[in-house]
Amino acid sequence: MKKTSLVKLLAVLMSLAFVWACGGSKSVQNTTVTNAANSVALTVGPGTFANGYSNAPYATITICQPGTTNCTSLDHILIDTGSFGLRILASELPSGFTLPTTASGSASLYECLAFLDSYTWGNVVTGDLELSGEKASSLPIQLITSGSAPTYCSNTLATAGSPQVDTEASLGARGILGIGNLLADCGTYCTSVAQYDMYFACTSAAGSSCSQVGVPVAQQVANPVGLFAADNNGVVIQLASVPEGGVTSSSGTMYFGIGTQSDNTPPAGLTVLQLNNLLNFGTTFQSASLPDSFADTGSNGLFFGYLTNTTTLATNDGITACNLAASGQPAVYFYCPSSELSETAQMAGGANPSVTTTASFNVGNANNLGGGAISDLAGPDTTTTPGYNTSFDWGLPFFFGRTVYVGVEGASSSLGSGVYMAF
Amino acid sequence: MVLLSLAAVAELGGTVSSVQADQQRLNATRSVRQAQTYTVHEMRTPNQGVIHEFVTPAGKVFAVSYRGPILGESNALLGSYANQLAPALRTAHNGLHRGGPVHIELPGLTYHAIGHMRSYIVHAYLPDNIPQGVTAEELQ
Repeated sequence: MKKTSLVKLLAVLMSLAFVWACGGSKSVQNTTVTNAANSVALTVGPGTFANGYSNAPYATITICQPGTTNCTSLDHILIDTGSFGLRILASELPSGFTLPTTASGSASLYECLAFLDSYTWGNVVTGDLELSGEKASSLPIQLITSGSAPTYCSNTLATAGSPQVDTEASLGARGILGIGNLLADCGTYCTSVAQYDMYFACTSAAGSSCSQVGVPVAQQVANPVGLFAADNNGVVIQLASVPEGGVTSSSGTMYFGIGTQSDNTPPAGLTVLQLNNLLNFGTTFQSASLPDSFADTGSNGLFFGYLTNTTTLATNDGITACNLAASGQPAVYFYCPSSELSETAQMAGGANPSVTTTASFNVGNANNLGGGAISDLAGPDTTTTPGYNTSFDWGLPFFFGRTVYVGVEGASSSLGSGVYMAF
Repeated sequence: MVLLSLAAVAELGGTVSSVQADQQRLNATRSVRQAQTYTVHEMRTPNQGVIHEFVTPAGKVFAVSYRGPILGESNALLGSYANQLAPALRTAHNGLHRGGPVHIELPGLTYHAIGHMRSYIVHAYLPDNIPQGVTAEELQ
C-alpha cells in the first residue's frame, strides 16, 4: 500500500489548517452491537476524514439522551489513557440532537480543560454512553464548543495564548474518550472554588457571564468505566503488532473490566506497575533515570531523551534527530537515525519500584516513516537542558503488539488495587 | 503556612523584592536554599505541586519549574513570558506531533512541558539571565 510520508502529511495538514474537514457519518440510530458485550473495536489510522494524523486510536461510541432510546453514534473518538472523561465536539452532533446541560444553581455548568498545548471550552451535559453492551447512564460529558471562553480560562487555566480546540480539524477527532486511571477529570480540587478550579457557572453563552464554581466529583466530567454496572475496575487495550516503517491502518480491541469476563482475564506473569501520586512510573534508558514516565495512547510517538545541540540535532542518547517543521515554523523534532535502531529500556513501578521489566522498542527514521500506524515513531522529550529530561512518554507505539491493563482508582482486580498499568 | 523571613519570589522575570504573589496565589509553603550563585525557593502547594524558583544574586527570577497535578499552577509562574509562547504553541499543536511534550526555544526564553492530565512537568528559564557558571542542568 502506498504510504504517505510524515513530511507530506504535514504539508497536507498545513494546507488544511483552516479548512473544515468533515466526513463519515452523523446519524441518529439505535445501538448496533458487533463486539462482545464488554468490548469495542479500535482502529488506528487517519480514517475517513482528511485531518488524520499518525498513531491515533479511535473507537465508535453511541450517546443517548438520558433514559431514552434516542441515540446517535459518533465514529473517530480518540481513545486516550492520558486523560479522564468524555469530550465531544458539539458540532459533530446531528442537528436537533441535544443533551441536557447540567445546572449550577440557576446557571449552566461549563468547563475549561487545559492541555499542554491547547484547551477546550464547553458546557457540561449528561448523556447515556453506550460502548457495545456497557452503559454509563447520565454520564457528565464536556460538549466542546467554539464559544468564547472566559479570559481566566484562556489566559490563566490554559497556558496563555494556547489555541482553543473546537473543530475536528484542530482536535484530530470528533471527541476524546479519556479512559485512564482516574474516574473524574479534576477530583476533589474542584469541589470548591480553588484558584485553578476549571468549572464555571455561566448565565449565558458569553464567557463574560461565567464565574468559577465548585462541583461535586459526581457531576464532574467522568471516566465512564466508573459508571458501568459491572466490568468497572479498569480497561484493557489490545492493539495488533505493526511492522517497522508503518502501515496505512491497524486495529485492536478495548475490553472493559479486568478479570471480570473470560475475554479480559489477565494471564499469569504480567508485570504490574503501580503508579505514583502523579500517575507515573520509572524508566531507565541508557544511564538516564526518568521517574516521571507514563504510558499514553494519546501521545502519538515515543518521546524521550534530549537534544544537546539544536543546530547539529545531536542528542544525549546518540540518536540523530531531525526537525520536521515547515520552513520558518517552530521546530518539531523527531528521531531520524540513518538505520533502524533496536533499543531497550527498564521500567520500574512508581509505587512499587522493586517491580521491574525491560521493554524493547524500535526507532525508525521519521523522514521515511508513514501511514496511520507507525510502531517506530519516536522523538526527543526536550531540547538542550539535561535536567529537564525526567520523563519517558510511552506513546501509542508502546501499545502495538501488547495487551495493556489499566486499573482505575478505588477498584481492584487479580492484578492489584488502585492505579496501575500492567502488561 | 510556613512563612520565612525572606521576601517571596515572583514569577519568571520578576524581582525577589516584589510581593509574595506566587506564594499567596498558590497558598503554598516555602523554603529557601542557597546555592553558590543563586537562591532556590521551593514552594509546595496544597495539591502536591512542587515549584522551584531560581533567583539571581541581583534578585531576578531567571528560572522556574513545576511538578504537579494542576497546569494552572505552572502557568502562574510564567508571568508576562506566557504571552511570548503563544505563536509557538499554536504551531506546536499542528497535528504531526500529538499529545507529547512541548518544547519551545525563543530568543531569551526556553520552555518545556510534558505530562498528562493530573500530572505535569514544566520548566522555563531565561538563558540570558542565568548566572555565570551555572548550567541549565541544575535548574530542575
